[in-house]
Amino acid sequence: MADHVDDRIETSARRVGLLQLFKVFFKIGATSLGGGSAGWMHLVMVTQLNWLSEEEFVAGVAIAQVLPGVNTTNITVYFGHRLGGWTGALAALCGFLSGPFFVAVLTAVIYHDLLRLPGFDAAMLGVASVALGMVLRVALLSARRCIREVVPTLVMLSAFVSVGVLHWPLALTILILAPISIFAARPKKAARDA
Amino acid sequence: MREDNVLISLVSILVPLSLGAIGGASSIYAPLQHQVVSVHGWLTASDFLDLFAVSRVMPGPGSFIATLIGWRMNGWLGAIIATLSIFLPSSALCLIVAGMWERSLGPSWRKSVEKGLMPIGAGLMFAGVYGVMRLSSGGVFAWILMIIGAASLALRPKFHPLWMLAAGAAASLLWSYAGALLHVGA
Repeated sequence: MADHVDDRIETSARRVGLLQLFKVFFKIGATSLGGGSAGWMHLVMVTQLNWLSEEEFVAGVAIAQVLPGVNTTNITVYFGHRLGGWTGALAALCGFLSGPFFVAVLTAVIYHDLLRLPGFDAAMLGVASVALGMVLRVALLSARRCIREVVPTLVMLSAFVSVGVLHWPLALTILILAPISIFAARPKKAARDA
Repeated sequence: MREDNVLISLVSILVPLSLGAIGGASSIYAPLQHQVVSVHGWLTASDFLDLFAVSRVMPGPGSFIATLIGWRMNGWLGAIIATLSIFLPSSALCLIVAGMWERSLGPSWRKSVEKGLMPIGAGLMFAGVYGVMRLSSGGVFAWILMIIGAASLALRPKFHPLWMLAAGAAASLLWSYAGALLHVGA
């Protein structure tokens, strides 16, 4: 059972062993069906194991969201590092990805057999449509916030047209749009730190 | 020799996508599809759609669609290379940032970065939806299903994704059988 950690400590003094990190993140990754892993990570790391405080977790998630890449792997790497340094991050990441990796390979192997199942194509179409609906919903939520201001709206439209219609390279699009968009979103003078 | 080219191509496609995946896997579907289906012709449109659907049902992030593609192109080696290519770059970046976060910018700049990246993420997501939908042969039905999916989540945000996907699969199956029955009748 973990020792109680003072919630007010910003930098966690807690160190967790590599094997432990691997095992815990393996379990999270292997069971992360359909999304919602972040919630699961919170449950395990904050509530059950008491590795992190509430604030630490939320701050880490915010950073994970800001950085490119999937939130869940960023959270894994970030807290793996927090709890076990560079090797800890690696152990956590390997743990997290191993389960899904082998399921993916297995799925790819039986994919052609799956295709022969009557209705598989139709079922997959249904899954894809609903999955896209879920993505669409998130996109609309963000869009709602963007259209309040001119620059975000233009940036959003630019990203859509550039990548979705013109098929320009993603990296180039981001390299151009990100600085503009972040600069436009810069803190107002009064609120700026230091 | 052809195999080497495929691996190199996989890496050159996936590494930039890893670093450009603003807001997660949803940002990469449009460029990934364009590369894999249109530019390289590795998969047919319907193949890609199937892999997309399957990737949403598998455990782990949607980025594992890269693993599926990698396996298709070059078995174990392809799958491993693809997985490393899609996950390591962003993870390495995250590690670097994690290492220097304490001495870094204050919270209000982080907010700016979040706020600045959000419209890009939104635009990319729309691109993904648009791109993948165009591949589907489902016509109006697929669009309706998609809209119902989005609307259901709007009304009931707590719907478990797996149930929704299962419902979508069932609805689509029913629809296709209904279509087959009607044809038989005619």
